[in-house]
This record gives sequence, structure tokens and C-alpha cells, in this order.
Amino acid sequence: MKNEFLKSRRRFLESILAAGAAAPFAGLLARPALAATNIKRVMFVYLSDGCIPERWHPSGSEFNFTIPEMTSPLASVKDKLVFLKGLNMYEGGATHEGGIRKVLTGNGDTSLDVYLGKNMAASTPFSSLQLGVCTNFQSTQGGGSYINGSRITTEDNPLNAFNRIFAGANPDSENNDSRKGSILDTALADLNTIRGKLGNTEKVKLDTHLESLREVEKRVKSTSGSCDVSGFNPTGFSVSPTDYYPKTYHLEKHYETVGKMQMDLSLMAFACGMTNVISLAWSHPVTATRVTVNGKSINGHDASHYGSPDSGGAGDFIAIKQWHLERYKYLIEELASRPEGDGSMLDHTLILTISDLGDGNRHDHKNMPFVLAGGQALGVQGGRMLDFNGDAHTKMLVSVANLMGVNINQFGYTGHGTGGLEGLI
Amino acid sequence: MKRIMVLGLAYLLSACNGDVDTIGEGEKQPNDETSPPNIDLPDDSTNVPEMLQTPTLTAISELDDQIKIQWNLPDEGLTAVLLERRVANSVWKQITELSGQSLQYTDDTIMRGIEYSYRVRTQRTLLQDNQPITLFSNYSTVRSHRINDPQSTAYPGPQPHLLPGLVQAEYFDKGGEGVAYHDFETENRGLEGNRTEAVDLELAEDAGEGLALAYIVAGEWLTYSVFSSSNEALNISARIAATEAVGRMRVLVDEQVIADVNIPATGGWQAWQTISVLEEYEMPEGEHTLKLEMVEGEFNLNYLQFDPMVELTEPTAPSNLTAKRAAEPMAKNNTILLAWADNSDDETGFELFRAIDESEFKKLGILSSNSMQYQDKNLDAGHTYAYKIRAINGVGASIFSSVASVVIDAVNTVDAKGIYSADCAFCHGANGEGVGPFPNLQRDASFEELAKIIEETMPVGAVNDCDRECAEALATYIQANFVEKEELACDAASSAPIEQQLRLLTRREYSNTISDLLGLETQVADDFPVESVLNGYDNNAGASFVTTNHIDQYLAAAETLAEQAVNQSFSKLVSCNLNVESCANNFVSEFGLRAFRRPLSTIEKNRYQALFDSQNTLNDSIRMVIEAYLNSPNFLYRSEIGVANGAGLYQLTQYEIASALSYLFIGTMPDSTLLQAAATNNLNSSEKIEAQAKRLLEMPAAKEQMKNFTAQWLKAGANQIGDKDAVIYPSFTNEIRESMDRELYEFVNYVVFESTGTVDELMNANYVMVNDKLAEFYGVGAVQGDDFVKMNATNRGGLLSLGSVLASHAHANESSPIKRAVFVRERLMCQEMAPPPPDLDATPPGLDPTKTTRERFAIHSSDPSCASCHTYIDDLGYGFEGFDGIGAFRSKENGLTVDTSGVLRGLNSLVTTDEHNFVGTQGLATLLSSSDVTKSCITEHYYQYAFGSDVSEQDQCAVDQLKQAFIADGFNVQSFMLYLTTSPAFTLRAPAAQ
Repeated sequence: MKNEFLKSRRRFLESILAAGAAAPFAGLLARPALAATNIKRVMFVYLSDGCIPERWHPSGSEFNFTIPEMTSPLASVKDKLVFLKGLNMYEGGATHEGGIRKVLTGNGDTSLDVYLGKNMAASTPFSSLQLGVCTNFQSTQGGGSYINGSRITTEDNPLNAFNRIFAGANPDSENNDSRKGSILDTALADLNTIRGKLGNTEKVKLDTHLESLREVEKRVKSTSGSCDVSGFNPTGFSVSPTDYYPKTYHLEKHYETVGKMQMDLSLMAFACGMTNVISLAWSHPVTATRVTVNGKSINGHDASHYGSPDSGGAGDFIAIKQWHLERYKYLIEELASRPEGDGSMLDHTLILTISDLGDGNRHDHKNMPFVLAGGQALGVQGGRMLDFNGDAHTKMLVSVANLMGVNINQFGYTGHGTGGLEGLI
Repeated sequence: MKRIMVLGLAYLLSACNGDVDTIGEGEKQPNDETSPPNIDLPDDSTNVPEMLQTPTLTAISELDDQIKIQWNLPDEGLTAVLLERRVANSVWKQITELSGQSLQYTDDTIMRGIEYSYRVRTQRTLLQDNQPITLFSNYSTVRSHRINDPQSTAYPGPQPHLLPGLVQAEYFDKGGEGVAYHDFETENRGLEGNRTEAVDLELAEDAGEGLALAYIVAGEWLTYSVFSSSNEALNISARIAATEAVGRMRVLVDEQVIADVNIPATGGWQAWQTISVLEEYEMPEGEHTLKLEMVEGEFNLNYLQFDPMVELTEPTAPSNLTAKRAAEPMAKNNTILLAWADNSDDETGFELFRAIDESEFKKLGILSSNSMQYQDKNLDAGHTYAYKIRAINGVGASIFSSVASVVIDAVNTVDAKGIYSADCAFCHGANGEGVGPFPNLQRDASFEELAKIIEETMPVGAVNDCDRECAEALATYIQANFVEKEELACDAASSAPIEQQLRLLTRREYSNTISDLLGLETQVADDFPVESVLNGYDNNAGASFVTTNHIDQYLAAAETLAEQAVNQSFSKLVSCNLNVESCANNFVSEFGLRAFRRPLSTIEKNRYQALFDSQNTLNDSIRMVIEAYLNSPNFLYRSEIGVANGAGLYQLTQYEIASALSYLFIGTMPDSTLLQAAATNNLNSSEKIEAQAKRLLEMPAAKEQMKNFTAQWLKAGANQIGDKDAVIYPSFTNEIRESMDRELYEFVNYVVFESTGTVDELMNANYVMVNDKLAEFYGVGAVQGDDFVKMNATNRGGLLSLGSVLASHAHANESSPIKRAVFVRERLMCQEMAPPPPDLDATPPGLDPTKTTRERFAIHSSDPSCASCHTYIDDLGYGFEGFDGIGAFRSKENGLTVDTSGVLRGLNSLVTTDEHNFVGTQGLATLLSSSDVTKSCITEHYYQYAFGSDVSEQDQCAVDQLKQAFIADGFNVQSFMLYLTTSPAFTLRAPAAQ
């Protein structure tokens, strides 16, 4: 049921299409005015199984550096990027499991995306979104987002995600919303009754449930503007209810399509002000998926065991990383092409690449593949490479939070000191 | 400066006793007659060295016809300095013994034009137990020098040809015609070579090339300056070539003919052969003139070869072996210092042997040639160490030196507290409380076991850092400081350790519940957020949090389901006729009781009645209420809160017990019988509860549930069999995958519900449950159709060889001894394996078509930093190698026979001495089922599944009670499950930790 493009959506879209709008962003966001210059957004893009540090990180000096093969797709958008070299992840677990658990949490219980979603000044219908591409396929570890120490599952089905996020985009949904409102009110009342009876027992669980109910209720009850979401799913991708395992959206042959849909979804969600925090994961640690790159089918995890930096495996690893970074670049270019305030959407948005490992072969957490794009209107100067010589990656998490206007001094591990990354802003 | 002064004082005191070498440079030292002064032999004074450091030869220089050598002495308190010299390429000989403070020597017994090499070693003699012993340092660096002889006629010079060695024919002396040679032509007919003399030379197409004497004519002769470096006997041979056997040559040394030889034909002017000229010729040491007279031509001559007569013998044995215990600070490491005299000059090395206490001597190692001392470190206190040594060379070994031995008393000087805080606390906590996956040390264990584990496996990755002594000290420290010795009494409270909790429905439970609640088969829950999995279980109560995503999904699902529910027969919702007003008026409470699995409170009734009344039609009202119920936390969570029982615990309500029973055994909401029993207080005794449990276990849904547990317990669920490489494993189709999933269901349910139901049968079954596809895949005979039947099998059977188990614990392209071993340890023995150290590259060895899997993993046992953990893993996993990565049986891998022998260490406790050999999965299954370990472990796993909880310290009592019951019931699974429902842990809850 849910996997179908809901009929009401389709009707809505048809009317827009008939009006001649084509590109995903043609037409303007009609949400109540948030002064464009106050907008702050962040997106975390997860790429699996680390990198080859020597072939990922540039060499040279801060403004004058050479980009090696693995990150070569980013050369054309270099002026929008800051390469963050020499950051390590400390404490916590080892290898893949340890890495994914700490990359966004700094080894704490809640990940930065969830945290920022709840603490950023601007309020949006969705505090944060967690999207995936084959992330839950044969894995219970993927994503990197956590709440109360428990993993938050990504939404891997782009149609489901679209329906969920843009339910309010449907002008016909008024009745739905008031109905939903009543139901949520009742659920909230029941929850409060339970809380009253239990006192401190199961407090965390119930508080989390409560917050979730409230956020959805608020979203459902707020007056929603309309938002142009035409252009989503141009290929007519659909999910077959008889595809039990793997699900249609987990099939390798749809990896690229689903990924594109999730990216477009993210861009729309940002443009429509649905959220300011998105986490998008391409597959998961120890990825099970094979991706066809230049006619060759490559499994990213096998490729990540590249042996030596000059082996054939290294070639595969480079190719698959380049493929993913082309897509990272797509996000950058799309946001850069849309005007906002005095500049573009990219100027108000940070996009950060993350991973579960540093060196894919050695399974370490050193010299992690972090690249920061955008944020020029937030104080980040692009076209730079910064080397932090083994400093803790949690300082990067702090810097990202600070750039989002959340003034914390630490986020997770502080064994290397508090504060953000020096020289970033 | 200070050092010299001190020694100077000692010297002055003893200066009266004889000739003394004064200290200072630039003075000529008298030779040979100098004897070391009489120093009082100190007895292990701490100011003098125990082991002698190696001196350094620093300078060599010449003056007139003398060579001066200088060196540094790194030690004080030396008895003597011994200087050795080697003339050219001869053997080393000691030429003088000097005082222990001397720093130079001038050698005046040298000849010009010859190279001399020098080296020194130091000596110290002292008293130990009133016996004198002598230590020697190893040899210093070597320095060489030659004083040029301007009058040397040797070519190419300036050194004469050194014998033993080669004398190249083209290197005749300088001096010219009539002096150094006689040649009939006036010029070099061969036109080769740099010299302008008339000797005929041409290229030698021989190994090493060079030039050869050619166009030899009778009457020609040549001279060569040679130097014999010792009196050794030499064998002389010549390298010649000739087309006809007409040549003849005479060899003279110092004008004396020593040999006269006919030159044979070799087949060509460049067909070179070596012929013997003279054997056992004794050439006295020193310079000589060699002359070659060509009696008859023609032949070619490349060189003459002078070889020492090698009488191959074993080397001379070393002697004067001494052993003593190092004083502080080396003593902390329990080091023994060994020293001996090297009496051979043809050894290639020394073999050192050691015996501990009464045991046999074993070879400790091979030391390099010319060694004279050794330190044996990191020894255990409380033992006697005995040593002997012999020299070895290519021929064999000398006899042994005499034995020297030392006793190291047992004295515990280890700083356990310091070691713990520096090396252990990071993982195990400052108070042994355990951090993350690393075990807490506060439990009571046998001292011996604890010390053994520490010694053999800790610290991880640096096992050799803590020896027996260190391990015992640490074990003592841990037990004294972290472990409370009182017996944990299993009282009522500790028998009911599960805290009050709310358990979020899993997706499967949600779907099953909808099916029973609304009579609808649905897949909406498939898209709900995936559960957090803890230790393999998806129903951990503490790990499930409701996010906004959950809320959105619940809303959407409820909307869909409610709409479907009202479009079908109302009879599935409530038993009365909803079109009748009285029924409709009761809908909220009647349906609500089913939805919430308990009666509604008055407040709740009013709340939902308001929703019902807000709609205009009956359908809409019903739909609205259903939708609202499905979003309520009272529906979404299973309540295990209970009511206070007055004894500090909470007794679950009758309805909570009903839910607990049904969700445990059939994975869905309580049916009307159960709800009725709860309503009438008929779940208020163990017998009644057990009776209901038995009823549930007879339902078909109980088998699905059993499979659900088993798949999670064994981590072998359908979606845990990862993708397989289609090229390597083309037969692993989706059909096989699906069949293996069903095999799990069929097998476990056959054992539990139709056969003996024992752990023994689960492990050791000699049959398999297969459909047609699996029968063919496993090769167990022909089966018709998709239905599963029981087939006898010889090379598989039981849990360990289930297709899903073998395929889940493997890689996409190969089997995996590691994964299978970890599976056994964690899922069948409840022994947690630590992950590899963070900085270690844990890449499996690459596929190698010439090796079996076992061979490729050899480094885990050969590298000691791997072996400490892998000794518990690899040898265990190899037992599974009879099955490949997709669970198919194999007797060969890459054409090589598969060896399925394995070793299970640490069956009962994690020490390597607990070692058991087995062959294949069947052997392993026998081992596991013979020990209580597996049965205990199943208990723990079922406990986790039943209560949605981990097993930690506070659960031990309850788990132990269950284990005892399991044993008492002969390990019957159904009996055990029933027993669980009668245990206090099932119906009582503890207050939550605040």
C-alpha cells in the first residue's frame, strides 16, 4: 500500500506538471518567510568502509594543494570545499562497528544530526531526516544516527520517505490533518497517563516517545504552505509488494536510481524548509552492495581491502569512491545553482562526508575522509585544505554545531580538549 | 675525568707490584712481556660491570715500519685487553695481552706491502663464591692497514699476491724483459692488456674473464711476488687451455723447482680446465718469488690457484662457561649473564642449551660466531637454570662446555597495582567493573584460572609482557581488591531480576497482532523502522525507542488498516453484532480490551468514546477508534509493570501474564481463552500458567515462534545469509536460500515437537530435514517435491551443519573458520570473543588457489600476538571446513584434501590447557553436548529472548536456577520452556534502578 505513489500525490503532481514546471526546483518555496540570511542547514553524507588516505587527502598547503585520484571528481568544485585532513576518531569500539557508532556521536548516546535537529533555532516540520540507500540491506549497523544509544534506522524506501515528508505538500490533506491531530492528541493523553503512573520508571523511553509525538503533532497542525515537488521520481520507480527479499529498493540494479531519488528528496526537503538537518547514507559498513562503475561491478567492501595503494584492488576502491563523490558533487552543484538571500542555497548549507573507517585496509580511524562543502555565508571559506595532525574528530562535530548556531563547546569525546577545529572558521 | 682519576689511584697503589702501563697517548708501549697487574679480585661490587660491553677500535695509523692501533674501553674494572691480528687473509691470532686500562698498541712486527687487520676484546676476572671466573666481551670493530712498499715489484701491487689465493697469469711482476719475464717476441701478440711489455696476453673467455697468457713458446718464463700468510700446506692448481697435449710447465719458488707438469689437451684455446700442479706444498710464511718456466709450448694459462688444504673438522669446544644472576636493575627482569671462552676460529656459531630445574636440556638458540657472552632475560623466579654451550660449523658441533647453573629465588617483586592501573584499567575499569564489551573482574573465580588467563592472554596483543610471576601478582591483587568474597545468596529478589518494563512490539509482533486483532493479513509493518538488534535479538526492551519516523509510520499504517478493517466483516472485531445499538455502545470497551490487551480504565473509556462520538456514521466511528487505538502506547507497548507485592517486587497482573505467555510462545496477542482466563483470575498459580503455556505450545504459531527464536539464537535468519559470489557459488540460488530457511524451521520443530526435544538430538541428529532442492544440494538422496521430509545423513546432521548456519557464518566467496568458531563460542558456549586490537589489519588472507583455507590462516598460530586469542578460534573453526561457504559438503578444496580435524580449547574455562581434539562438525557436536556448557548457554540465550533483556551480574541467580532445571529435566527444550513460565522471573518484576 504504502509503496505506491499515493493517488492524491499523483493528482497533485499532474496538475503541477500540466502547468509546465519541469526541474525539481522550478517554482518557489511558499513557506512563511524565514529571512534567507538566517537559514542554516547541514547534511551528512556517509560513504562506506573508509578510503585510501594517501589517495584521498590532498597534498600541499592551505590554499595551494593538489587533489589526488580518489577525490578527483571534487576538483571542479574545489572553491566550495574545505578538505579536513588528519582527523582521528578516539575511544569507543574498533573497526567498522566502532567507527559507525562514533563518527556522528563522538562516542556519546545521541548523534549530531539528531542533536542539532532538536537544538537549532529555526523550527521545521521534521527536526531531522535519516535517509539511506540500501543501508538496511543485510545490515543492522548502517546510518550512523543514534538516539539514547540506540540506532535510528534510515528510511531506504524513497517513495515511503517522499510520502512521509511531503504529506503536508498535498493541499487536499486538510481533513487528514485534523483527523491525525485528534489521534495524536489521544495518543499523547494516553502516554501522559502512563507517565504519571510510572514516575521515573522507563522515563527515557517515554520521554523520547513523547517528544516524537509532539514533533509530529506540531507538524501536522501547523499551517503548511505548498511546495513544488514535481520532478520527483522521473523514472517512475515503483516498489513491488511481492519483492520480499531483497526489497525492490534494496536491489543492486536500483542503487543509482534510489540514490538519486534520495538526493533529490533531500534537496527538495531543504528547499521546502521541511528540515534543516539530513543524514544520507550510501549503503552501510561492510557494504553488501555491488555498484557498476564504468562497466565493472565493484563491491565497495571488497575493494576497501585494497592491499597496497598500487594494487588492482586499489583501483577498484578509487573508482567506487569517485562514483560516490560524483554524487556528492551533484548535491553541491545543485545547491550552488539555486539563489538564496545574497548568494546560493549552498552558502547556507554545510555538506559533510563521513565514513566508518579511515584507512579501509587497516580498519583504523585515522586520517578520516572528511570533506566539508558549502557554508560560505556561515563563515566557512572554501578552496582550502587544513591538516589537523591527529586531532580529535569530535572537534569537527563541535565546529559543525557552532556553524549551525548551536553554541556547544564539546560533543562526545574530549580527550584531546574541548572546542572546535582551529582555523576552520 | 673522574673515572681516570679513580683508576689512577688504584694503579698507584699497585704500581709497586710490577711493570705498569701508564695511561696517556703518544707513548710507545712495551710489548709481549707486559703482564696484567695484580688487582684485588672484587666480589660482585656494584661499581664494576657484570656484562662486558664491546670495545670500539677507533684509529689505526703508521709510523716508519710500525702500525699503531687505538681503541675505546666502555667499561671500568677490566683485568686485561686482548689484541688480535690477522695477516692478510689468514686466521686471527692473539698477539698481545695488555692491561685493563690500555687504550693503544704499536705493532712493529709487520712487513711492508702486506695488509694487517686488528681487533680487541676485554677481559674481567672476578670471584664468585670464592671461585675465580672470567668474562670476555665480544670482539670490537676491525681495522686494517697496509704500509706501502715503494720498492714492491708486485703487479698490480702494491701488495704481493696473497696466498692462499689466485695468482692471475697476467699479473707478473714489474721489471721488464729479462727481470720479470722472458718473451721471445718484441711485442704482445695477443694485443690485449694495458701493459706495454711484450708478454703475449689475450682475453680469457672464462668465468671472471680477465686475461690469459697466450702464444706460449718454450723457454719463456715469468715471475710473481707472492706472500704466504701462514705456514699452512697448500694445494696448487693451474687453469689452462690447449688444443694439443704438447705443453709443459715448471713451477719454482725462490729458485727451487717445486713442480713440473704436463699440460693436457682441453679441446680448444678457450676450452678452460683446472689441472692439479702440486698437492700439500708447505710454503713458509712470508714473501717469496714464484717463477713459471714454460718448458714446452703451446698452451694458454689463465691463473694459478693456491688453496689451503681444508681438513674439515668440527670446531674446538668453548670453555670456562660461567653463569650468574644479574644484579639490580637487570634483576627485575630476572636476567642471567653467561660468558665463555671462544677457543675456535672456524665456528659458524654457538649453540646454547638450557635446562630448567630437573628437565632436559633444550636448545635456547644459536649465537653468532665469535660470541663470548649472552644475557638470558625475563626468567621466572623460583627455578634453577642450567646451561651448556658448544661451537658449530659446516662439519658439525664441538663437544659441550661444562655446565654452569644459577638459582633464581621466588621473590614477588611485581608492582601489581601499578601494572593494573597502567595496562588493565582502560579495558577492565579502575575497580575491575568492566568497560563496554570487556569483562568485569569482580566475580569470584579460582586463583589458578585467573592467573592462567592473565598469563596466557593478557594484555591483548602483547601477551609476553606479563609472565607467570606478573600474572600471579595481578591475580592476587584483583582478588584482594575487586572481588567480594561473600556468597551471593539467591533470595527472592535476586530470583526476579527483570525490571519493570514496557516492550515495544517488533514488526513481526505488530503484524501478528493485527492479524489476530483485525483479522487482516498485512505487510505494512515491513516498512516500519528496523529494530535495534542487541546480541542478536531484535526484541531487547531497553533498546527500542519511538522516533518521529515511527510515529509517522504508525499513523500511516493505522489509517490503512482501519480503513480495511471496516470494509470487511465486523465479526472479526467484536463478537456481538455492531449494528445493534447496545453492541455499538460497548464497542469502545470491548474492542478496546482486545486492543490494549486489558480492560480500559474509566478515563480511557471516556477518551475513546469521545472519538467514537465525534464521527457521523458507524463506519467512521469504528474506523476512527481503531485508528486511534493502533497509535496508542497501550497498544504499541507490552506492559510488564505489575503491582507492588509488598515485598519490594511487582507482581504482573493477570492480563500482563496473559500477554507475556502469548507473545513468548506464539508471538501475538492473547486469544480469547487467555483473555478469559485473565479476566477470571485463572492465571494465578504456576500450574494454571503452565497449563496455558502447554496449550499455546500445541498451536501451529508456536512453531513459527520456535523458528524465530532459533534463527536469532544461531544468528542464521534468512536475511543473515549474506549474498554469495555468483561465480564461485552458482548453485546458491534464491530457492536454496529459502529452502535453508525452511530447513531451520523444520529441523528445530521436528526435534522439539515431534521427537525427543533434547539438546542432545539438536546437536547430534544423524538426519536432515530436506525438500527436493536441498536433498540434491546436500547429496542425501532423492526427495520428491517441495515438502520437507526426514532423510538419514552420514556427513551432516544437527544444528552445526544446518545450511543456514553454515552459510550465514561464512563469506560471500569462501567459508570462514573465524566466523564459525566465533559462532560456536558466542552462541553455543556463551564465551564472548574480543574484537581484534584497533591498530591491527584484520584482512583475511587473500584467496589462494593453491592452498586450503586452513593453510592460508596459518599466521594466526605462528604470530604470537595473534595466537593468544586465535588459539581459541582457528583450530575450532577448522572443524567446519568440510562445508564450504554455502553450506555444501566438500572433501576437497582447490583439489587438496580438506582436513576437518579441530581443537576446542577452553571448553569449560577459558584456559588453553583445557584442550579437546575432534574431527568435523559431528565430533564437535559430541564434545559440546557432552559438556554442560552448551546447555547453560542455551538457557542464557532463551532468557534474553524471553525477557528482552541482556544477561548481566544481577541475572545470574535467576539464570542459574533455570540452568539447574534444564539439567534436571534431561535438557528437554519444551520442559524447560514450560518451567520458565513457573519461575519467579516470569511473573515478578523488580523496581527500575533510579
